[in-house]
Amino acid sequence: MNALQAQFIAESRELLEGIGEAMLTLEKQGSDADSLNNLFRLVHTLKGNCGLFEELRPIGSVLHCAEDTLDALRDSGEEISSDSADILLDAMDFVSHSLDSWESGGYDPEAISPRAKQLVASIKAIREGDAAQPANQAIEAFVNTPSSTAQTHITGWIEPHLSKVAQQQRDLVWIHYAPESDCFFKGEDPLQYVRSVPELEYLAIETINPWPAAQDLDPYNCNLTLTLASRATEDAVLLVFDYVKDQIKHEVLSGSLCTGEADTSSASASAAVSLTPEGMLPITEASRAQALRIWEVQLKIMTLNAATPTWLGRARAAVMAIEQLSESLNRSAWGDAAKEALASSEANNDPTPLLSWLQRIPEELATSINSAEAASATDHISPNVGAGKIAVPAVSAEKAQPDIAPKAPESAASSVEPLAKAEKAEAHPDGEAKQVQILKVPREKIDRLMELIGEMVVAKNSLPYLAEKAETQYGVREVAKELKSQYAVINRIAEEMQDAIMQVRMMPVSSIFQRFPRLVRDLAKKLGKQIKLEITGEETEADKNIIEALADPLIHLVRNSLDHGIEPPEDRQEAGKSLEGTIHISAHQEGDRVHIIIEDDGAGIDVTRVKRKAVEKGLISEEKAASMSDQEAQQLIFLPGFSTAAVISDVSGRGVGMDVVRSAIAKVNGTIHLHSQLGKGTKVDLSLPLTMAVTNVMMIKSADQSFAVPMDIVVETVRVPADAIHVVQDHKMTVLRGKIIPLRSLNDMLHLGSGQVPNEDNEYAVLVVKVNGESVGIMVDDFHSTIDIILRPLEGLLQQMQVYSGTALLGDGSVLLVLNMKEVL
Amino acid sequence: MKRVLIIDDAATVRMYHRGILKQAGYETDEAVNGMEALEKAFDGQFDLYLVDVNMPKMDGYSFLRKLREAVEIRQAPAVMISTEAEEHDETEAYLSGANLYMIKPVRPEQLVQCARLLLGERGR
Amino acid sequence: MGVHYDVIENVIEISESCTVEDAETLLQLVLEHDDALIEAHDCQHIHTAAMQVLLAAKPRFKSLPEEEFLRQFLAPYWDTAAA
Repeated sequence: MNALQAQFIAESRELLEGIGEAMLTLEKQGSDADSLNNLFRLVHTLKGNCGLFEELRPIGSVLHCAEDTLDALRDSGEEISSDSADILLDAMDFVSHSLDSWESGGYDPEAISPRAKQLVASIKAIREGDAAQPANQAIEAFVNTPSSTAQTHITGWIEPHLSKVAQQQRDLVWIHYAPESDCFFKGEDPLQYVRSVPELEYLAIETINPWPAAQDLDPYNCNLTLTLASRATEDAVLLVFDYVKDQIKHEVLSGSLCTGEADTSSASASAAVSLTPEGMLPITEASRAQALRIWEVQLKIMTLNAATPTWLGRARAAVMAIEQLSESLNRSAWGDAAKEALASSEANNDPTPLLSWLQRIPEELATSINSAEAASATDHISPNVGAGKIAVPAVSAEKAQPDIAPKAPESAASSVEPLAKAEKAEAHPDGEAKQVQILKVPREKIDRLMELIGEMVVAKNSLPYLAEKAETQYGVREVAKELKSQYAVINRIAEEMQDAIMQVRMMPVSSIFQRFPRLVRDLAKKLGKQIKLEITGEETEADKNIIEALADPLIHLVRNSLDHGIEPPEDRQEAGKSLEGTIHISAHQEGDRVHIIIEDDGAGIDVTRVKRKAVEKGLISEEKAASMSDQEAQQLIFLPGFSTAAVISDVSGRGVGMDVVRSAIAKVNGTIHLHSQLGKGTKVDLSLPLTMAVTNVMMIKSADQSFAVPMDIVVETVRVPADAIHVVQDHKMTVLRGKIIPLRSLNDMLHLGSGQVPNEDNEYAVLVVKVNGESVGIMVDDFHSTIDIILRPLEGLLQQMQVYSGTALLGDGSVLLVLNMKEVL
Repeated sequence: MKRVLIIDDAATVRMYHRGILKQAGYETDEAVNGMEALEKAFDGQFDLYLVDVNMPKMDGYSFLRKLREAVEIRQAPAVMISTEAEEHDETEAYLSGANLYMIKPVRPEQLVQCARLLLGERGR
Repeated sequence: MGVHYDVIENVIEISESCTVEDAETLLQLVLEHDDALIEAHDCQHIHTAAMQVLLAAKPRFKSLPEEEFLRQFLAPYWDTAAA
């Protein structure tokens, strides 16, 4: 995937999002001009982008059709019906999935083509068989004017066939195949080749000489020429004729002005323009044809209405174009003459001097180098310039003027009149809207930056050590002091940097919330329920990683609400509720946590059913079920293997139970709480950390080993005198400010062998932590300072050691084990 | 060094054209709509404009008209790049101030050939 | 294989493949039985030489090939009024 492709994907995703939103809004609020215009523009841009990639043509065709339909709707002012919206949404899904597979490498244009065709038909049908589609108009216009200015230079052998082909503004590769008369004896079968041409659109079989009477016919003398057109790529088509490439002529035709070379004798299609040693373009056939076209267009431009405020600017630009052209072709005399003509026109405020000068197209440009092409080429010179007779032979200045001048205005007049009326009103630019500067940065760069900052945070931690060393070991107090103060500076900066990068990684939750309207709409429709979706707090921000980890669990929760929570309208009515159920998704920040809440006013959790199911599945015993509270019973749904659905509907999905949701949330250090009231509704509250990367820990030492404990569970550190420790039934404890704190020895819990070591005052170091809502005192040998670390999860076999939540790299290079106190206790 | 101003609201298309022109040896700058393009046209010295038709705030036609009306600044040639191929659109483009009209997607060879003729070889 | 004349039906059958050799036979048959119709529904491919015969002699077709390419691109050149 190259940069362009990546950019394309990124922009396309954005566009698709916008399209989806716009569609839903339109459906809900009705089609007003602005929203329709916006939607149209998005689809148009997406289509344009897809056009850059040959293989995405099926997708482009669907988008093009959608664009036309939207255009028609724009004009007619009709509302988009729900069914039509469905079709368009389906189409956008198709586009989205196809682009996904294109990104991941599994894209097959042939495979998706039937579906694409289907969608095109369905979208067209929305317009109800509107005969004059813009695309068709373009085709007709093209077909009826084979030598229109959109196609000034058509090779002779193609021209007669054009009217039989609908070009549809796409490249067609044309091949003129004239097999040798004795080709059959060489084992060649021309029709076999033709048959192998991919995406063949057109075939014309013509005879070279008229057929003799049947009895005189020699079937083995090839008397045919085959002219064909294909929508495949040039390379693909040329490949078919590789063995007979000296027997074919080829040309690629597109709708644009700058068509390929008129010289088609070479099979290679390279249009690379090489320069002469002096750096000037040789006038190759290609450049000549091109330059002629440009010249003709400038002439046409000058024949247009001169009574407009743009005339002078246009004239100057046209002259500059001619000037540049002349220089490039090393014929600067033309450019000079053009400037003179312009000066004359400007001085006298009269377009004629410039116009008539332009009409005198230099012979070099007008005559084709390839004499075989000359005849056909001149026939196709811009029809707007009289009948094409001007260019050949070269016309002298005096003679030309009286002849030509009247002619040109004639044709000009006819083309100008409708234009004068069609001149659009000037679009007034909007008032200066304050633009937020947005930078798009690839995710990897941000991650890298985070890593680096994290490493720096850790590296800086080594400075205090060094300062200590300097003082104690080397006795250089002054240096130590300076080190310490510098460390303070670096520390502050590092922390700010960290904050800043965290901010960058923060994303609003709207990025996951935005898919819900569509999801709810589709599911509600499917289930036949009426649902109102409320979303608040979508601007709340959280770390990107967390947001991404949440996407799936959230979808599952919403689906649950839709499937099991909200009742069908009839049931709701019976229960005296409103026909429409409400699902409220909200997000807000509380301290260093982010809360996401999904609440519905549905049926709530039926604890009796839940209990029964749990017992049936052997998850709990009958007695336990009987004795548990409703609150506890509700939590049963989090048990693995649990599902209350009588049938695992495809709405909620198979095997994705609440336990999976809970573990997904736990993975990012989040928690999930459920409250439900039978008949009233259910509320799911997700609590997530605001940031994820760096943890503040306290270093402790015990049994000569260093450990770390995350500061967020540490309540306080205290030195407890040995005599303040009481032993009750083998459990140690102490009293702290009137509260009883159980004491546990770290050495014992970790099986470190030795007993805890008190300090010289016979006090034990106790770290009071809060785990699972309870305070516990951990007895260690000593505490040290708190530092910031990047928690690295344990890998491989070590993952099984639940007591450690991970490791961290210290400033001095050593590895620190971070304790997972929950498991330790 | 010859400079081209690429005017299109789609980032992908801008990147596409930029790639082609840069490789051919020209300097490029970009604008996302007609208004931004006008500002740049007034400030910088461009030798060629590549103008998209459909853009928010100010479309290609309006940009060209405004450009051509401002005779005090350098009137460099402009190539209008559109998805429509109807006769009147092209003529409209010329009337507004385009010097050439192309249909997207523009093939690299087409663009380079045009650039070579209208800008000369790279750099000069 | 190739080309075969059915006396009973008075048709010239072109089977699955009509090769370069068959072209000669086809021409003979067409000349001999100038009122016979062509049955081509089984035909999968026609060699160019045979196509020339069909273009020059212009026999009438009773049935057209089911095969896509033949039907779409070659059939338009045949006399298919009777098909």
